[in-house]
Amino acid sequence: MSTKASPADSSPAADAARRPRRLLPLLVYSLLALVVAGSALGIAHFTRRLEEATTENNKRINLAGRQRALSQRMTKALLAYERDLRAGADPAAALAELQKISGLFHVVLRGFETGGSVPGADGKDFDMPAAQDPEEQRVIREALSLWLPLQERLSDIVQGGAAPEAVATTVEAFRARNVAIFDFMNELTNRTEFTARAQIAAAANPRTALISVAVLAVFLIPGFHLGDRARRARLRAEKALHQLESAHSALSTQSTALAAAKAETDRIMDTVQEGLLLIDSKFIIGPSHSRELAAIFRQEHLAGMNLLHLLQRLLSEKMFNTTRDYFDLLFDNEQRERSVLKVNPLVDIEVSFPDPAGGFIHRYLGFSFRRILEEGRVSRVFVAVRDITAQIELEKRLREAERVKERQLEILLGIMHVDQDELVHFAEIVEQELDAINQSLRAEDFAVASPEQQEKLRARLNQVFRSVHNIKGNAVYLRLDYFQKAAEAFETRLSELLARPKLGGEDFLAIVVAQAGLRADLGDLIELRSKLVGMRSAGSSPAPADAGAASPASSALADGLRQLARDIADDLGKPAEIQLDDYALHVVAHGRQELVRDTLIQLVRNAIAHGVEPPAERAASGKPPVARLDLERIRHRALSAGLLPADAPEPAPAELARCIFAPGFSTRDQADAHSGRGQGMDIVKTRVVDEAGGRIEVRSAPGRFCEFALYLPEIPEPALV
Amino acid sequence: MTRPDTSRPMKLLVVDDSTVVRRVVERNMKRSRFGEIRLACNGREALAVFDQFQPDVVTLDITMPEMDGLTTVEILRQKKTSAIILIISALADRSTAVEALKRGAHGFLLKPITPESLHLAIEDLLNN
Amino acid sequence: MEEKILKIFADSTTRYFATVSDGSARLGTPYLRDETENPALDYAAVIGISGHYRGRVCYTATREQLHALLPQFGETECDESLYADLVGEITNTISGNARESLGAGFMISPPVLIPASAAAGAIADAGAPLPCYVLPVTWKEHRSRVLVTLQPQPVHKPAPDAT
Repeated sequence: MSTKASPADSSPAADAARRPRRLLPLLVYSLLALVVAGSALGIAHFTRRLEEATTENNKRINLAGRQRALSQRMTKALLAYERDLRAGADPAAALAELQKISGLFHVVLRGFETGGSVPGADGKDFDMPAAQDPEEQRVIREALSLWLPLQERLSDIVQGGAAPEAVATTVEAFRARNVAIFDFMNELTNRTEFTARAQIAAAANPRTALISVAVLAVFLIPGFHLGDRARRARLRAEKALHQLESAHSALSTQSTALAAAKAETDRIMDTVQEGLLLIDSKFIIGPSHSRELAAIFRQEHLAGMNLLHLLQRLLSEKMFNTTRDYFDLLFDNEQRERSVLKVNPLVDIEVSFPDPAGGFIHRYLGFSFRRILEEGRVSRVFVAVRDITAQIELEKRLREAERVKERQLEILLGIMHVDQDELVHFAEIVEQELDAINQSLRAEDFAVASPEQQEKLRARLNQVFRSVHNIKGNAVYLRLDYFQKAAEAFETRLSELLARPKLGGEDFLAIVVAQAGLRADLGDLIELRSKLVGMRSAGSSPAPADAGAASPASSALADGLRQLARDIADDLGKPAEIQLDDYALHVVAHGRQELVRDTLIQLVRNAIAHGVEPPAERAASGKPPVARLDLERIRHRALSAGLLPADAPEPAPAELARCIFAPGFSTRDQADAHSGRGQGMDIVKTRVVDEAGGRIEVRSAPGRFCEFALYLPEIPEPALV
Repeated sequence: MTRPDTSRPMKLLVVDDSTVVRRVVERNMKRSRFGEIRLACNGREALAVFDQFQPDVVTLDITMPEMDGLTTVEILRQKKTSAIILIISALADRSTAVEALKRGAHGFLLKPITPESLHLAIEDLLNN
Repeated sequence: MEEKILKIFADSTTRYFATVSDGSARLGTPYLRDETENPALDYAAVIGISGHYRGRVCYTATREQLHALLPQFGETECDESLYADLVGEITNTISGNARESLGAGFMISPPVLIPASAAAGAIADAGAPLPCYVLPVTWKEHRSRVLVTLQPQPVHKPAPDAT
């Protein structure tokens, strides 16, 4: 808040009192009384509007953001339900989640449309007003047109008895529209933020102006709290009145005006939504203060208390020391008022009230000060204090949003080149792997320290490694540098842990923190992708959300693998080319997109990183320019890792082939972006053999080739792709 | 400050919001030189019994509902009492301990406490 | 949140058991709470954090652990209220001890006991979706968990007074 009051000794009232025209002060007082009364009403009105606007808008923004998350949880729940059905597991939990989430999503979306009571993010019901903004209304309308048909299908499922085919169609329908619904909810969130800003500005500006007027007027009413000098001025005015009493019959009206001014002062102190008070040079709060002050400080009987001591309990130690110094400055006659007011450290400070129900109540208070001079010395200081928590929190949210935007720009630039469907798919993979990581960590280890427990922890670490490595493989494949780097940093931490002779729960703290970091990145990716969709559709071709389904995913996979091979070959300076039979790939990948994709990514990486040597190196060692698998190196590593008995002098190539599938096995001394973690082939084995029940054959002719043949059993029923 | 006469049985006021802690202190101090022990759950309760009970020693937690230990120690100091005040708190930063002593406590014992650390802290204050 | 901060809570918890009991406590593998999951055991207490950090610290334990721990304080007859009291005091001690590393700016409230069934709601922060870290702790084969949800607060810079 800013006030523009003049110091008391030069106020018009005091000046007027010195002049012979003694009636003037009374006129001034009565006018001021009217001003005070008028602005008090105005302030109360705009304050109410501002508070209503701020809390209501915060709730709307939160709810719109939650809709965004709910749309994703809903899809997840539906997929879980479908998975349970297919696996013959009990789908009750997934169904309950689906029912809960879809119901909530529906009610809140309707709430945005027509208004009404909806469950709020804080667990309490919130009386949502219908959207007024035309742009918001449009987004809601379009979202509803997508959602209502889906909701109908869902309610069939939720009420039970939907045939498997119906479930499959619903899943199809969801896949097609899920992204679009998410995007609409995102747009709604952005728009609610925008309308909130506009509304708050509309209420805040006139209010600030009125407060300035009111405070100025309160200052100028001498009957209230001005210093001795002003009181003397008033006494002189009253004396003058007395003298004039017999001569002027109009006088009675005027003294009524004076009484009215006092009454208005009291009234403003009762109704103004501001803490107004005076402190003396010992910082003691004066006898009259506005009623709101008690509410702001959550304490009664403030008159007579020391304001500095009151603040001591609410402020951090550092802030308190600053405040104490500032109070001294306020009463220091040597300091110019203007300079002192400029450095006010209490414009917006955070205070913590102990909460009777436990914890703390955090509020932001804004203080402003004006000196009151008597005989040229600061006798008291006028203090206005306001609870500005709602505004600060909104500002903080907006600032935080700005900060996130800057960080996201980096990710955004990194995903511009990637196909929409590929990004969605990547996000799904990352989410699945993160869930897998948390699942393996969640198997809380309460066992006593034992060799078996060490093995268990190590096995768990290897599971985590496989998940992270798969994220990295997919990031490299899509050239998502940001995620590649994040996954690499994660892998480096994992490698350090695997190298430790003993593992304990503490060692996993780094893992859980890195995992939370990746999860935050994933959230950004999902949000940015939807923004990207907005940017692209704003351009030339407004493609419908489900247009991606038209192009066969397997040809995108083939293109991706070719690009991956070129990238790795370029990075490593090894000329290499990949040959793919697109049709065969399509047949194999049918219903097994992820398996085939993850496996081929790792095989391509391994083939180029390990199977091909740089041309210069081959030429220098006099080798023919043909790539080969280095069996001697594998044997050497296998021996030192204890995978082969030391007395087995010449292991067969088949035995060596088994070694390369062991977790953590690598012939590299140093890891780089493409190899050396010893995880890639472990992923291939886990996916193909352990998970899909297939098998792997390795044939090789030393110095000539190494062939990996992967056999996958047929999928029992046609999958939905 | 005058020290209490340590030859007669002394009075102890234990202030902590945790029953377990109050009873640990009570149980251990009963066996030593304290003849009469009273318990309080927070600063407000402690102030309510203080004037009438006139303890020789007060053990005082800091983090408590209604009135915290730092406020309590300040108010006790204003009473010009000669009681010895030992803060028993989990707040392990140095500045809290300094603040407690600045406001008038005589000693600071960090939680979790053991019978040994408690006896040592009390003896240290009484013999000083 | 950094690994360093989680380590502080892990350490102050194991130190608690090493000090008050004749056994030692060990940390299991930490993980993130799933938003639908309630990690609370039989008894739980939560402490509000403010100042340089904002969030909650919660400690939750099984009845069996508390029953086994109380005799270490000389309690022979255990009842519900003592279990609840002890879980609160442990929460208070591990949070308070964390100030040795985090300083007085890590402000803690008195512990509030929460029914285990309501713990999920009390742990989750109603505002921002912060990750909740679950640190499993074993003492003499008894299970307990420390739940940490914390966000460092940016130092709030006052805006210059508009004049």
